[in-house]
Amino acid sequence: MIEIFLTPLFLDLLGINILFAVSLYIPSACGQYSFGHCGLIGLGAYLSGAMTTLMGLPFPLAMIAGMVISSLAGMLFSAIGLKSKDAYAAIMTLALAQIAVVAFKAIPATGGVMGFLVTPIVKPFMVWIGVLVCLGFTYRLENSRLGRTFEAIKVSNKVSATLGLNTTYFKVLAFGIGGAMAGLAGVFYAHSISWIEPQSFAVWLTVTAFTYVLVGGSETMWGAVGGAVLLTFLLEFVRFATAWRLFIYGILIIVVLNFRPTGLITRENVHSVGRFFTRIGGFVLRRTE
Amino acid sequence: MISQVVNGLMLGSLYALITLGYALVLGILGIFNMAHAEIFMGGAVLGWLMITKWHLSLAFVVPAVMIGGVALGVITEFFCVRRSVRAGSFFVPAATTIGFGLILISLVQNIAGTNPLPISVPFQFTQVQLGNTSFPLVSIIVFFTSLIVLAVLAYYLKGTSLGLATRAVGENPEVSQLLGLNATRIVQITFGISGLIGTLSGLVFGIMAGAAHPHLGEVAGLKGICLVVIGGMGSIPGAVIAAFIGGMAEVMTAIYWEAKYVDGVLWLIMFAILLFRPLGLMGKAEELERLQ
Repeated sequence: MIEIFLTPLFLDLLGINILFAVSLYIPSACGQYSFGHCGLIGLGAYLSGAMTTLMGLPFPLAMIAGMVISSLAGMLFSAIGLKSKDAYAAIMTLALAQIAVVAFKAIPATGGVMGFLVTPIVKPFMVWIGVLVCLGFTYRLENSRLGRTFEAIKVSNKVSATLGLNTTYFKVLAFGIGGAMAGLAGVFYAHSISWIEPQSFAVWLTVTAFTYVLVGGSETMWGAVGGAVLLTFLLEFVRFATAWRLFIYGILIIVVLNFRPTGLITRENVHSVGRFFTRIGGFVLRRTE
Repeated sequence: MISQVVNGLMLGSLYALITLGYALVLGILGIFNMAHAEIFMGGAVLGWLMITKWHLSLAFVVPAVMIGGVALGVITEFFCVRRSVRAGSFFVPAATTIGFGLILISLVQNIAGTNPLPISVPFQFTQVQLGNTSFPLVSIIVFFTSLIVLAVLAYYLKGTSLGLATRAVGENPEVSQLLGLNATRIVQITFGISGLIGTLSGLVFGIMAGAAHPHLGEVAGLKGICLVVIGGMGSIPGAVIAAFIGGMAEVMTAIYWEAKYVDGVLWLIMFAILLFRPLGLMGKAEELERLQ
């Protein structure tokens, strides 16, 4: 049983799913939702894949380029949507996803509808270094001044605007950070799955990440991570689930949002784990004194 | 050239039909019904099931598909909207209806397969001679269907007390409830009507394209959201104008640019519109307040 999970491809996929879930969690921590993360991950994948395979540029350069383009695209489209209304930012990212898929299909250099083969450079340890760096960054972000600002905007847009926060600036920033992570996930995806085609980045890919974040819990980043791990393992365990994957996702989204809107891992859970470790630490300290 | 303009108008009338379903729920009630794209797909698949598999007559299929649409709309409302709309964020009903859409896609994929499902009606290739150009009969039927639906919907919203109640609930659910309206029931009725329009447009699209497909909603159905935004939130005339502009733009793109860019054109137009006119073509600022 265990050997199924230790294949490099599965480890890559798990890491990519975690990155993707966290990249969607960051805008949602600021009260913003994105329907277009599939476009962002696709942009990262296509640009970096084209740079390494077609132009022969080094991988680190392609990785940075992939992150930058996804980040910029996320910021541009959300900024235009935010000119009118929060919900419009989500619709604009949907536009981004649709335009990106059409563009991927239309570019002949990357194989058009058929897709193209990318040199598989990425090893699981590289993906996991990326995941750990991003998780560390997100952890620090949540407990920083910027993270608290995001939370204030999520709780009440009007109050935080009244207190003098430039809410649009912070929302666009959240989309930029999330976009960079989605781009990184795309870079890893392209260089480990090694075959990318436009249809892989269709709108419903975003829904996968939505399910991770909503089922896991949208209050802290641990919810996104937990949801990604849980569902990736679940789908690998239950073989018949592959055909009914979308069905399971649909049921899970409806049930969780209707009956446990916070998701499985709430902030209270995370704090109680923290308190548990504090207690153990205190116990150990008393014993050693 | 004339025939291309007419083609644009025909496609625009189809888009108007798709958009009206969205405009009711998104524009009037301010609820994102992302499952509408899949209800649209469901209409086409129901058409395939009844016309191609069961060989039923069209006189029976059209009302049956419409009833199926009402059922789908009411189910969407009951399972995805009734509870979650109280959360106060536009995103919660949007996510649950996405979930319902996934269930529909998955059902169709697993039962009917992922291949295109052919729909053929006797008058599929009939051409009608008008002046010195000829048009497919199907497009003309689409055009008149959407005109009829538009007229009935306009009368319903402006002329009947139920339509007035619908607009009142969209304006302010709490106050309308205080004044004695059953807001839940009115939302349910609106979803039913929207589902009816959704499956009807799906059936019409399926007959026009000659095939249904599990991923129809993702490409064609989602354009409805885009057109509502272009037209302006809450404005039915705006949505219809946007649909005709969109239909013309797609036909012109296919001729003067390249056919492979067609699916992106509407979204590019939306990008440009929101860049220069954040409220859409005919939107008003107070209509936007309905969205959380």
